[in-house]
This record gives sequence, C-alpha cells and structure tokens, in this order.
Amino acid sequence: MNPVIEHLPRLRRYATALTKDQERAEDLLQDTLERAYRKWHLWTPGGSLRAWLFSIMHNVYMNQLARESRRPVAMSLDEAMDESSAGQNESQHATRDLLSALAKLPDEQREVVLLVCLEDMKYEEVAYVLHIPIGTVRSRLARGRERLRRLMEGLPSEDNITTFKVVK
Amino acid sequence: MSRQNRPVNNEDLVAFADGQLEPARERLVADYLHNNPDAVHRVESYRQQSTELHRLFDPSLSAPIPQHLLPPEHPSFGLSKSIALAPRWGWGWGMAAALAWVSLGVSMGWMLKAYQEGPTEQLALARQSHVLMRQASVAHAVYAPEVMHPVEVNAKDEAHLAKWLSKRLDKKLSIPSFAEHGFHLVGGRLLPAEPGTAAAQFMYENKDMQRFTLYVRAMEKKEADTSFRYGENKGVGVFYWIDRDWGYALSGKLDRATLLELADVAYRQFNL
Repeated sequence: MNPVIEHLPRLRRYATALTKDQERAEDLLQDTLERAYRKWHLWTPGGSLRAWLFSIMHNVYMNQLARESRRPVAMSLDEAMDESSAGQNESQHATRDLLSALAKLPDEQREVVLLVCLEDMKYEEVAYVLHIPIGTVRSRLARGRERLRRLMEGLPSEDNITTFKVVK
Repeated sequence: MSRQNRPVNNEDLVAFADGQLEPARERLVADYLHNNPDAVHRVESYRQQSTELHRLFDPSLSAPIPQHLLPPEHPSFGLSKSIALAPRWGWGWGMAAALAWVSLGVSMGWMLKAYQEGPTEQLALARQSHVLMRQASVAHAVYAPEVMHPVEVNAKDEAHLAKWLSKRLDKKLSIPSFAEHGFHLVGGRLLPAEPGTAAAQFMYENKDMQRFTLYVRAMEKKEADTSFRYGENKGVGVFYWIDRDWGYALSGKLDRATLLELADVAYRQFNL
C-alpha cells in the first residue's frame, strides 16, 4: 500500500483548519496531492513523508493566498463553526471564541499553531515544513498562542510586546 | 546568558505546555510554576487550545475522502501514458495500485529515455546544464559587486519586476523570499541567455552586504528533473538544478552549506 494514503486524513484535517472551508480545503488537498505525485521521485525514502507532504501543502497554500491576495474571510469561519459544532451547545461558546480568535492571527502564526497544537508536530518538524529556523517556530508559536489566549479571555494584547522583548 | 540559565519566558511556557522542552529546562520551568499561579494559568490555557483544536477539527479525520480528489485524467498527473488509460480509481487499494503504477512509470520512463537517447544526447544534456552553471556564475560575478547599478528594477517595485520578467521569460515567476534567512531582495534584471532566449537574475543581500543571485532561464533540451548540482567558477559557488524545461542557479561567494540551504529554499518556493 502506498505510504501517502495514511497521511491523507491528516492532510485534509490541516487543510480544513487552515482554510475553514470544506470546498477550499478539498481544493488545497487536491493541488497538494497533484504536486506531490508530480514530485514523487524527489522524495527520499527514509525522510519523514508526513513532513514532506505538509511542506508541499504549505507551499501550495501560500501560493493560493498570494493568488487570491486576500485573507480568509470571517464569514466562512462562522459557517464552518456552525457545521462542526452543531448540537454541542455546552462548548459552542468556546468553539466560536477559538475559531474567531484563530481567524485573527496572522497567517504565519496560525500555521505554526495548527501544526503544533492540531498536528502534534515537533518544533523541528514544523521548521522543516515551513522552511524557517526553529527559533522562529518557537517565537511565532509563543506569540500566536499568547494572542489566542488573550483574545479568548478578552484581555488587551499589548502585554505581548513586553513579553517578547524579554525573549530576544 | 546561556540558554540554560536565562529567565523563564513565554516561549518556555508554551514549549512546556507542548511537552517539547529539553529535560533540564523542563525541570526549571516546573520549579518556576510552583510560585507563579499566573504562569500556571497560561500553561493550562495553552493546553486547552490544543484540546479544543482537536475537538473542533478531528471529526474531519474520519470523513470519507471524495473520489474526485484524485482525478487520473488531470493533465498534471500525466507522469506516464499508462495513467491516462487507467479507469477512474476508487480509494484504498485502487489508488495504491495507481500510485504504484506512477512510480513504476516514472522509473521505467527514465530507464527507457536513457536507453533511447544514447551517449550523444546525454552529452548534450550535460553540456546544457554546465552552460547554465557558467552563465549564472558569470552574471553573478558581473553584477553582484556593482554598487551603483546592481539591478535594473529595484525591490521596491517588486510586483512590477515579477510581472515584467514573467512576461519576458513567458513563465509565471513568483520571486522567492529569503527574509527568514536574513536576505532581502535587492531587485532583478533581464539578461540574454541564448539567441532568442532571455534569463532573469534576482539579487539578494543580507545586513553584512553579502549578496547572492538567483538565475532562471528556459532550457533548450527537455531533461528529467535533476537534483542539485554544485559547481564553482572563479570563486563563485553555484548550486543549480533543472525542473522540467527550466534551469535555476543560485550563485554567491558564500560557504557551500549556506548556498545549499538557500538553494533549497529557492527550489521549494519556485515549486509552488
């Protein structure tokens, strides 16, 4: 059985979380797979196939964003939320908060947050997927998650800045 | 201050929540948490984020994947002629078999090509990639030291630069970014490659004024995609590669490891 198959559900989950739209997620997955099969001979067995596939998805997604030259729209967010949390009244509030907070993150922070929190990737793997140094992974992640927390708890965000002056 | 001794910061709290701290640092953060209820609250919130994201998006893991996501008749999937004749696949074993066909088709395609082409063709291909390397290194040597006019179009007109060169090369070019690696775009220029063929050169610079250039041109003879090759010409190091009918070269007087890293970044971005 081809090893790509086992990664498809996760690729689609990531695409869904990134685009927050079923149709766009499937477009993203499709474009990613086409590219992956076209570049199949460039994948070196022994490396992490998952990281390689996610890295292709990242490239394709960046390209799609550039092409559309627009950010994901808040509207489609709410639709996705309504679908996925229907009938879960108890946690509906938290869900809406998290989704709208996620939508307020810059793309670069959202990707890191999703790869770590949702895809459970090691920071090294995220660095590979996004073609950035691991230090950048750490700082983007910390900024993104602190921002999410502040948005969800209704706190002002300026504290972010002082926190990160300490870091560098 | 060493990494071990610096005070606990938010990156530590996040990495602690993710269980991705090295053991020594993890112990230190754990101690710190004993006296800092606010930090404990943060760690809990960060963990909650992961839990919530899973709850929110995990349902998509078990949903069936639509068949149309892998249309065999799609032109870009045409790695092998046999694929075009294959019936529409289902998922699971059908797709596995199809993928096996693709891999087989690709490797057989290469073997056949090498067999049919013979030594003359091989030599011509080797020659053309050597020419690519030489042209790129010469273009680098000429323009990289230039102070007044290193580029024709400055980075501040990046959108125009991309559009103009895309038009002249008849290829949609998106200009790669190396900002994460400390290099910013200086700009670019159009260069002659062969009679009737143009090349594009993009120049990048870091804060130490070190420069490298990226050279892109159409290749005359189609060649199977190549892996990175390295060459040097009068002190200019060049990583070059061919992707379908396009040749790419990244040149600079930088150490080989840095050049390779940059070439890898360029390769991935050009393959968007």
